[in-house]
Amino acid sequence: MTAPPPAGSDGRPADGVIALLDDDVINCIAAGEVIERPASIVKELLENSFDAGARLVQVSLEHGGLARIAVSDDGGGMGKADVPRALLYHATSKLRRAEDLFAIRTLGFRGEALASIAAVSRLTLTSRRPQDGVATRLTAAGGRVESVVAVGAPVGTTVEVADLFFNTPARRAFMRSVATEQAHAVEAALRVCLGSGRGGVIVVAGGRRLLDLSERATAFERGYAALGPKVPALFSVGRADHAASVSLLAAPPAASRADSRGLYFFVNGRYVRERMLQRALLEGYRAVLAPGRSPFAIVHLQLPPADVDVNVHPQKLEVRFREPERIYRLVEGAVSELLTAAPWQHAASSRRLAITDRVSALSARVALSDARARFNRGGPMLPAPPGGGPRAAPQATLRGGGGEDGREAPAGNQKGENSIALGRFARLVPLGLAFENVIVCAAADALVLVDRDAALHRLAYERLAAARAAGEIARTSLVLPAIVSTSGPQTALVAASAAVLATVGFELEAIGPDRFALRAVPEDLGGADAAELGRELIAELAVLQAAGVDLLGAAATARLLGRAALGAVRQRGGAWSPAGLPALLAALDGVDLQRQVPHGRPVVRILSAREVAALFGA
Amino acid sequence: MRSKLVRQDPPTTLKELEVRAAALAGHTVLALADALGVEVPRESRRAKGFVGQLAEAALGAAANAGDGPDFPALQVELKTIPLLASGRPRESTFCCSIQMARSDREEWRSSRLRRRLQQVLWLPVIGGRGTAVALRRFGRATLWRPTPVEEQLLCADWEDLMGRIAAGRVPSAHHGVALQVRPKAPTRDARSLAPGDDGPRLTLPLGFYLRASFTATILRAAPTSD
Repeated sequence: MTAPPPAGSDGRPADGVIALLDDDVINCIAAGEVIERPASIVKELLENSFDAGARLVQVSLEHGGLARIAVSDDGGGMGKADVPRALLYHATSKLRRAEDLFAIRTLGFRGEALASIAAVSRLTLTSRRPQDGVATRLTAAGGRVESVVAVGAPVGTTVEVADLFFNTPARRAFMRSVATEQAHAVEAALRVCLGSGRGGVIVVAGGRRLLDLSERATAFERGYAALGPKVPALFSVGRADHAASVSLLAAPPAASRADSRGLYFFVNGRYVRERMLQRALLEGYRAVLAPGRSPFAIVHLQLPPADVDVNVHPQKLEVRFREPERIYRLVEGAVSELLTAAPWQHAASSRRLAITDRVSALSARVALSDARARFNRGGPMLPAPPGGGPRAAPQATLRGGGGEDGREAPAGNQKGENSIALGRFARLVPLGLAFENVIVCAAADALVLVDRDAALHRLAYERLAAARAAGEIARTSLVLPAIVSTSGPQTALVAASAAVLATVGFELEAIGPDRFALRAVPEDLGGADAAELGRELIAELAVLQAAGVDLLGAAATARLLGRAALGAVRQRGGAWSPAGLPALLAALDGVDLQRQVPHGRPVVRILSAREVAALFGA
Repeated sequence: MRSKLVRQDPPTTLKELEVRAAALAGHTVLALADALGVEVPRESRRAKGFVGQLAEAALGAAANAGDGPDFPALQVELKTIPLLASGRPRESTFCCSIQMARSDREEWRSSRLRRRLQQVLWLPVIGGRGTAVALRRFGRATLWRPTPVEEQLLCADWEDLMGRIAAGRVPSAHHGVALQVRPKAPTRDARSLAPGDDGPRLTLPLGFYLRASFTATILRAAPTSD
């Protein structure tokens, strides 16, 4: 469907609406057919270079070729008169008459590549023939020649293409990413180089060589460059009939792809996407490849120019054969020949020893892995926690007399009955835990009630105080630092008190506004809820500060230690272990329970036998 | 012992994240698992992911970061990196999966990989395959931002590799100096759409990995004191 023609004032279609396009538009349209993306330019310029006899061509890309492409060759170059002509449409050295179209032996022939490139870019062309003393440099923008000057330059031709599609922004909008355009450009260079079979090409972008094929590279080296390192080996076979010949370079059929990316077809050195050739190749492989798989293969077809029409596609990617059936059979026959010979089998047998070695190594790895698995299944990865059943303790009497060593125990509590002689806790017989916290013990002459939490606190306090007095409280780094939030004046207090807290075994670090991380706590408190411990210490600091207590003084230290020791209660308070009670009681033997400590409470209460008897009216 | 990881609250500052990460240094995987109340899997097959998840939980990484960084508020990505006893990275490090269908339109500046590598907290896990997972130890974490030279190297690699993918030439694991492209799919049969000469085509999903040689230089360049 076409848009309706513009209407005249009377509403009828106006006359004279068809106009001849000006040259700029014509050139842009023509260029659009040839120059699709930076890769098209690389292809066209490389073909020109190889047609000019270049042995080595260097391609430089900036921004995927969208910003700049420079192609330098060591070919025959052009003279001063030819340089400006090269930019004219249908100006070429490769064709003179219509019948020459069927005798084309060069890659280019239409004489429109340079003109098309120049039409959509800013182009600089510098060229010098061996017999000329100076080179000629031409600059053009949007197809218009701006200058032609003589300059010094080596023999050969350099074409620089900048600001591609600067004057056709609609085309520019269709460009893909830099990476994509760059990769397509490299691929284009590779294809031309593969097809030429003789020239070398170096593609550089961002200071890196993306393609480096020497002019001395063999067909195999070129093949590996195209097909990639996944191809284990390449084998070649050739076949010819009376006029045409095909050379096939292919990997063993064991290496295949799910797409046709491993296939390259060249007709008289020109890369083509020709479905007939692909079908012929796949037909040859049909017996050895699973459906949907394609081999890795490079097919070079050489035939008289008169037998192939290369002038049927704007980018010359398609061709027409005069006798397609013959070409089909030639390609299929080459594949059959290769598969019948199966040269990879011979190559494989020579590598068998190496493969056997690899299998042995693999077996060894499997054995090692099994051994590890057995080790992992075999038992706990950590040593079992030390433990043992409750130990029987000889029964104690409260007031001494009859210790195991036969010595008289100290008199013990002089102030009342709620004390127990040092050295006697170990001899108490724990009967059980009452009210979740009270350890009920029997002595020969009394019932002893021990407040377990108070005992734990007191023991923790004593250990901390002893370590503090000895120099430094051992710390443990928390695998998960506790994050403590503060507010207002608290923040300043905590920040100023880091040293104070360090003296009692805590390491606090500011990690943000009003946030601190508690990184280490006294080793004794490693299992406590560190965040809660941190908050309580901060609360304690606030109380001490409010009371005007010197935070570095002994009183403050004692209160902080007393507060910290509460962590030991919470740490262990939830766990009831009958096995742990004797040890807990024994530990109390080393503590002077007469002395009070900050945040502590009475640890022990004693009911004498007489008191118990009184309860029953005896 | 619980079997579900309980995540710490997310860190609110870089300093907090660094302090948390520094706290892991020297501790075993077992110690961290204990602290988080989970058991270390016996199967080494599951261990690799487990250590990463453990570290994420300990440091307060987002549970479902999706396409964003592990610490969205700080724009930091967490990478645990297994080291041999010699201090060398044991293997390449997975960075992100490749959006195959967009591979021909993505630019480095806005790429998923660049976003992922803008700021990375590298957390070494020391111990070779011969060391039981539980007994592997966390090393000193390093907060890394690519230097201009590193960024240039990554950019060049990315453009080379992405370009090949977009042009339908899937790079092999040998391509790339700092980066590597390898298959990355949940199952062997997974396929994703990718550009092709004749329109989109189905192909094996791929992922970007940082080569061990590159991560080794990052860790070597890390400051030696806190």
